[in-house]
Amino acid sequence: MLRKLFRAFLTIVIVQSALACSNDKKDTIRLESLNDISDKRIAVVMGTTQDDYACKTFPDAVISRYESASDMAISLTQGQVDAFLADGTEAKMIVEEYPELIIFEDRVYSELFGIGFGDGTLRDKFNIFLGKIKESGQLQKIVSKWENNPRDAVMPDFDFSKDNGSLKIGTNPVMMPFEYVRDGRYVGLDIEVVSMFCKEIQMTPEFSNMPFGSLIAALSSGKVDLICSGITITPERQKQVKFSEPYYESKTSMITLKKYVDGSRHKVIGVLMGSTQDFLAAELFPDAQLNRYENADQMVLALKERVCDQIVIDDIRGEVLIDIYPEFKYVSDSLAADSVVVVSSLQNRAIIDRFNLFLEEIEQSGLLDSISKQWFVNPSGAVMPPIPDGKNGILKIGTTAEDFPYSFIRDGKPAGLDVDMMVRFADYIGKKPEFQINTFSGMITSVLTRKVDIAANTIMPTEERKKQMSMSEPYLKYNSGLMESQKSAVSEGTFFGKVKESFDNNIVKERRYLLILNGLKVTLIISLLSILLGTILGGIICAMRMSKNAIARITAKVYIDILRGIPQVVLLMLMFYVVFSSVNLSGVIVASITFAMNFAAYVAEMFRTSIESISVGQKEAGIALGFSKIKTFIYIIMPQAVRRVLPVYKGEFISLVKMTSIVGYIAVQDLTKVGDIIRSRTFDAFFPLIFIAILYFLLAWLLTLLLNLVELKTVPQRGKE
Amino acid sequence: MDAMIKVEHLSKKFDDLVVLKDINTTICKGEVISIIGPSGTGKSTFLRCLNLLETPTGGRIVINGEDILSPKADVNAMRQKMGMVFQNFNLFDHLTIMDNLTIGPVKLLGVKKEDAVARGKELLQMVGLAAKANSFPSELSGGQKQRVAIARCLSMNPEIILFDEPTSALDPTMVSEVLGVIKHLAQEGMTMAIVTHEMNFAKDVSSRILYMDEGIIYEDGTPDEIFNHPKKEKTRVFIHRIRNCRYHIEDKDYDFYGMNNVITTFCEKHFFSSNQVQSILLLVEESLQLYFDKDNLEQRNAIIKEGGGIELSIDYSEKEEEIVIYFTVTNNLPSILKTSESSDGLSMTIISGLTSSVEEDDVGDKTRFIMKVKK
Repeated sequence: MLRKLFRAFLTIVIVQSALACSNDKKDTIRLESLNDISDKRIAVVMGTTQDDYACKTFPDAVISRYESASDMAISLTQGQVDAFLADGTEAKMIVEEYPELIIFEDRVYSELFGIGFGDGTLRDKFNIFLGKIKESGQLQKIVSKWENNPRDAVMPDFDFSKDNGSLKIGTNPVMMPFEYVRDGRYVGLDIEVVSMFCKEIQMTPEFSNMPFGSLIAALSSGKVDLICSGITITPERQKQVKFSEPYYESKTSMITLKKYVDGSRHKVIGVLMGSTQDFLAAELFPDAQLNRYENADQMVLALKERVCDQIVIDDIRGEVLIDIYPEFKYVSDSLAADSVVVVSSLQNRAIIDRFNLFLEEIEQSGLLDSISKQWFVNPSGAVMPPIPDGKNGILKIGTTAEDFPYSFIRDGKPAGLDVDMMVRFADYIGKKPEFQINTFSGMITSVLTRKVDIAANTIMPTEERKKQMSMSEPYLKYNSGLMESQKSAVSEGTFFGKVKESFDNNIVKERRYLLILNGLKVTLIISLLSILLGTILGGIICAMRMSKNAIARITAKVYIDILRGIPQVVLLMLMFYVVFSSVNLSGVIVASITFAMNFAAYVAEMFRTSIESISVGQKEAGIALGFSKIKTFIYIIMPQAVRRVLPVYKGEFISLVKMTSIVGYIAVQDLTKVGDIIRSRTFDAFFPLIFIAILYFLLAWLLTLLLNLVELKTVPQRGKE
Repeated sequence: MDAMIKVEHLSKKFDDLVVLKDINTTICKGEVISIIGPSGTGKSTFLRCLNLLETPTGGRIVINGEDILSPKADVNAMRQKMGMVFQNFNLFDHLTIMDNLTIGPVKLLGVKKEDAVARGKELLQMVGLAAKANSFPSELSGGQKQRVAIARCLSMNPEIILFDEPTSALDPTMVSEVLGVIKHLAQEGMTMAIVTHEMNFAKDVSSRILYMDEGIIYEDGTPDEIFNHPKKEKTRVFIHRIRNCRYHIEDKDYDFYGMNNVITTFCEKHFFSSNQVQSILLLVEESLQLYFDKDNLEQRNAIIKEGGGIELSIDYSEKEEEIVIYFTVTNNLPSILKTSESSDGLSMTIISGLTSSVEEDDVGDKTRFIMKVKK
């Protein structure tokens, strides 16, 4: 057994090293001339002249064949090939779409396109037509149109006559701008030309989509009358295809990754999703890989762990971070300007209007300035305003508490600039603020489903969000800059020293252990409530499932199937955001109800199985003695069923305790969410996770012990064992 | 004697299968009734109808004057006065032996726990298992379990105990210990109805035997009547555990080898010794020689054929280990005993040598030639 483990471990180590080595090899590819490509991995479209050319010109290269240029582009970005060949116009469009790609060689070779025919007479007719449009200059106009504006060029409408029947045309519509599908229609240079031809000879075109490599075979077998697909005229093809005169001269380019060409190490830059930098990313960072993050704390963590080389972060947060983490420093500032707003649902425009008034006031009075300063300069020590009583009711505010120093947990309570501002706003409208801490997406959902009245968490006003929510005036404007970390990921210090430091940071500081204890309490409460409710409900469902009444039985079956068929996360969010959306139940109660319902479905079936597994003779003996059906169940069947169901019940019990970790999605602060919160403050990925995991394990273990005690009491025989 | 249980026109069918057609009987106090019969004839079903473990589909059951099938009947109370012992014991696996004995009285009859325990000890003593009071059913052997099951019934002070094949699941060594307890109860005057396959036991202990077959009580009598002088054929066949083989001979051109094959197969099925097989084959052959005697063969053959041929029947009683060969033919044919006199007598000699008795009797318009094979 040990030996097997050791061998497995060894294999893993070797494989990882091999992968690492091969990774390095890729990074060291440098292409300065076409020659350097000759022994690399080149992709071509199957059956095209690129295929022939590559095989002849680069006999030592590894050639892979694909169906289209877009497939090859994706492959290249994923590192599965090193370069690929594409038609010139297509190449231009591809490097526009994929900023990490570059045209390495513009004109590797050029060739002539022709339309393929099976029938010589038809071909001759086409040549006459082609001659006409060449002379009149019409062809040149069409070519320019499609070359210059491949995506949006207008495809004219044709009114085809049905007089002479239809012309079957084979094509592979994946090559812009020659033939491709747009809005469900075949468009492109080739399509337009052959359509014009059809109009000329009064036939209707009938297009068939087929792989490029099958076109010639289809023509030879007579399945199609004509093929057009950016087909190059070659002597070999001329043996099987009657080509028209050439109608287009195309050049073929070679595309590769930028990083192979400019030789600089590929940078990974983190940006905030929905920020201005996100949209301008391609222009600002043409040779970088962009990682997009949902909130700033995740992004900072990524920088600290060297997942990102640099991050784009606002100057306010940046300054605060630089104070705390001296290894951070700005590489360049003022990359772009951003603003943040508070949001509410579209129907609740009123509160936004009131907020705008409030904002104007505190801007003019200079209060906004002073509270901003205190949160940016001294976030740990800044004083939160007092929480008002609110005679007008409660203001429900959504926030993530994972956006230091705008929204974070300090001493177990929400704090930060945005939080401060919201508390003051609540006071302004005479309401008591109540914060609902959620994930960022959960917070947005809460706004949309009106679970909260308003949300504040450095929310940037994107176009999409403007459509979905009411937005206030910006309360903060800042510039963003590029920040990097100078400390290497490997930190100094002994292992135990680090552990002690982690422990201190994550547990002791700011009395975070209290937070953990509270999270543990919440987890425990939800678990116990769910199990109690769930077991009782499960018993009821089981009784229904086993009843003679068909309605009861079917209802129970349907309940069980539905509850077992929906993932618990989905069910939880359904319950919180849809079923109980207008009801003001706490997340803990909703969670308990949801878990209880799910637990009941599984447990009902377990009970049924354990009851049915008891031999019918036991029941008969009880009845023969004179016990009523109910008494027989209570004294004879149930005790035996309980001991049969306990082992599986235990498992389901533990499962439920672990499942409670999803309540973070509905703004409940359980043990897992507390871990997230701490992690977002300390930027320590390792310690909080391990600590929380250990706590869950201990909890499960203790509860198992408890159940074992119960088992012992009900099964005295097992005790003898 | 007062009829404790009256059963009138009881019928039971499961979907389309009719198990009990028309059961009529009474059980009086103090009687010990054994119910016997072939498998699948509804013996257990009948018993289980008595305490309503099965619900009859027709008829009436009156216990102590109460019609237990009426909706007003207090079935639970009725069951408390009737005990049932099952083929598979059905002791409560989660309770100790003592708890098995006390649960009924305590929970149903309101007996105080200490009293129930004391009575339990008495009962265990009676069935010889006082030492097992704190064991669990899984720790007992089959015979012990069944004895506890009987004690459990007795703990409720029943007026009648129903036994559903109490020893069918026990191996022979344990059967006697259980039968001993039941015998003891009979001696003490307990009213009992027992479905059993133990014929000797039934003969010993019962005051009355019910033979069930064809969905009714086929025959009803004292042990002596049923076992020694059964009135009906089927009863007899059952009692004597008779196995039978038949072959029809149309005329002199019968299939000799086919007939021998049928006879041999029958013999092998019942593990006859090769001597026995030879004897039977010889007896049959010689008898048929007499029937199809060379003298007047055509005439004899015509009479036989007109009369419907010869019916050969071999009866084997497992109980008595006796083989009897019957030939039935029209009485227009002169008796073959006379034939044997006129012929060289060799056949008859052979026959006499292999049989313990040879007879002829008349049954309607047929003559029956009966040979009891020598043991």
